[in-house]
Amino acid sequence: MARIADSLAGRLGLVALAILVLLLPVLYVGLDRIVARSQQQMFVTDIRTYARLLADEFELGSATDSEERTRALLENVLLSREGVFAELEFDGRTVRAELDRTTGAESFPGEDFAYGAGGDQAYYLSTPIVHDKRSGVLRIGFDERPVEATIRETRRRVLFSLGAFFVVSLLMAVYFGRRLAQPLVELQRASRQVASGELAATLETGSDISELRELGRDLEFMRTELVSVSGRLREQMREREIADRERRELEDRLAERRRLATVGTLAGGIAHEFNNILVPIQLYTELAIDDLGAGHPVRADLERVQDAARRAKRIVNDIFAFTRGKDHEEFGSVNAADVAAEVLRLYEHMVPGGIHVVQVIEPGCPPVVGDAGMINQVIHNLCANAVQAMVDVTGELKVSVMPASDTHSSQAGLAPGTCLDICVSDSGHGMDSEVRKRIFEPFFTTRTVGRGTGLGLFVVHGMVESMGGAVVVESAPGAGTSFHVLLQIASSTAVADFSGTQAEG
Amino acid sequence: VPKILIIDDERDVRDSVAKVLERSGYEVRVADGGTEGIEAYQKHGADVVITDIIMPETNGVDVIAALRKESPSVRIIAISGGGNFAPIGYVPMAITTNAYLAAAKKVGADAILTKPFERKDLLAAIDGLVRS
Repeated sequence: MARIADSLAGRLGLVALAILVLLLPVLYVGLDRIVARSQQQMFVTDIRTYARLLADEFELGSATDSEERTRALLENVLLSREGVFAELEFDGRTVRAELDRTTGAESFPGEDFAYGAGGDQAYYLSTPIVHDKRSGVLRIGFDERPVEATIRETRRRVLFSLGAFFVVSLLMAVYFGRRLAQPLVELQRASRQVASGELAATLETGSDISELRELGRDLEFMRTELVSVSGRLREQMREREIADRERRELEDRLAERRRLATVGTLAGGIAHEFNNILVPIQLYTELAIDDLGAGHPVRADLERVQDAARRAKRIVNDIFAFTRGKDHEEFGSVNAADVAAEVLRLYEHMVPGGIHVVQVIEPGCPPVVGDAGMINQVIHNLCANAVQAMVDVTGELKVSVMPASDTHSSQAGLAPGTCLDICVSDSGHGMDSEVRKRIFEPFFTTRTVGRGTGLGLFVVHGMVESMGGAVVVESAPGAGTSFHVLLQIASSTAVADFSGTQAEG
Repeated sequence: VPKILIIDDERDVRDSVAKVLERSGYEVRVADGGTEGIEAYQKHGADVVITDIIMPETNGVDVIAALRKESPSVRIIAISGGGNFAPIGYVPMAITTNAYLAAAKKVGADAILTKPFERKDLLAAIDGLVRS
């Protein structure tokens, strides 16, 4: 009930109901009175006219001459109308119609001057007549009950009509209420759709009610404004997310560089000291070997000390390879494609049988800023790493040289279109993000002990960075690994001029 | 017998080098650090000076410059642990051994020997210089 009262159609229905409940009884009483009075008035007028006509009949005709004719006319009153009494007193004689009537008075009770007077349910009147200079009185009475029956019937009809009016009015109120509410319901549905994210839902209504039409138009304008603002906000948020991500990536790269710089500094310092220690180890061992005769049992042990010292020297050299660096001016212009091809020629004979070597070198690659030896070492280390990643499995070692994509340049923090990409990829077991974060650390290795020093990628990173380049790693567990070594193209000719370089090359 | 002066702040290095050279027949004198090395040369002289580069107080480059001032003909071998103490471009103040070695060569070092070296490398370097 409360829900009905809350709705527009329900409220209009209730208002209509209230109006009808108040109005209809008043209307009914008023109509009843009008109907009753008019019926009574008509009855009285009719009776009086009839009495006058009958009187005229007696005055102008010869009915009064014969008692029989007088009686016949008077009996007509009783027969043709709802007469209950008819009497003519003329010239000293009184003739009364006598029929078997259950109503009516035995004698004339006196003239009624109003309908319903006397309380006898009959209307009596007397009319004087003059015929042949003789006078008399016509007295007739008529039954009031048929009029009452007519009034009752009319009252019933009025009541039925008012009832029908009540029902129809109520239905129409509800119908128009619902029709009025329909555009609002549509607006509500559309606004809910908008709120739930369906921003294309239109709020304009096709209502023929101008206020609702205007409301829909205003709301639609508001929606388009909101959609526009929302779109702008979303775009700004997206841009901010991208900016945040780029900032985080930059921070990560900087943090990574600082971390590796710290590690490199530490490693460089330790390596320097290590070399100082290795000098007496090597020299004293050699002197001791000299002092021992050939075939002395300790001599073999000392030779192992010597081998260990040489191995330590190699490790130190690897660390220096990372830290040795050169001033930028010291680097020359190197044809990286030639260097890659040279390394691959070597690797084609070195890789295990299950590994297929693929070389994709775009013709006419421009030279890069760097050192041929360093680039050779970088590609060599990456190939060694790739082969190690495919140990015990078959796979593909692919080396490609081509202009760096904008995505990789951007990831590396280098200007797009200014770098060459030397990519070494394998179809090995790949790395998860945790391993990927640490691969450039010195002595970090996922291989079993004895299969590597963990310095290969450390050296790659140091060399590439010292040449002003960067390394981008793409890898996922089970999806292989790609190392993109991005080196700056020598001179100002960038990739835009690459086609020209190709033509010349 | 050629006289050799060894200047290094690392005792084990200078002693082991000295022993190798003595056994090879050279007359050897050692000095602990650059200042002591310059004084030793001034006092005793030498045909060949082997000096470390990265040393506290007086570094190898200063030693070579001082020795060259004393004698343009003395043969000098610069030795170093090598490498950089930090990757170039990361730490502006990183000690760059390469730069020191380049400077050593510029001020008059005749040969560069990177530690750790084996006996044959050391003797070959000295032999070459003595013969020249």
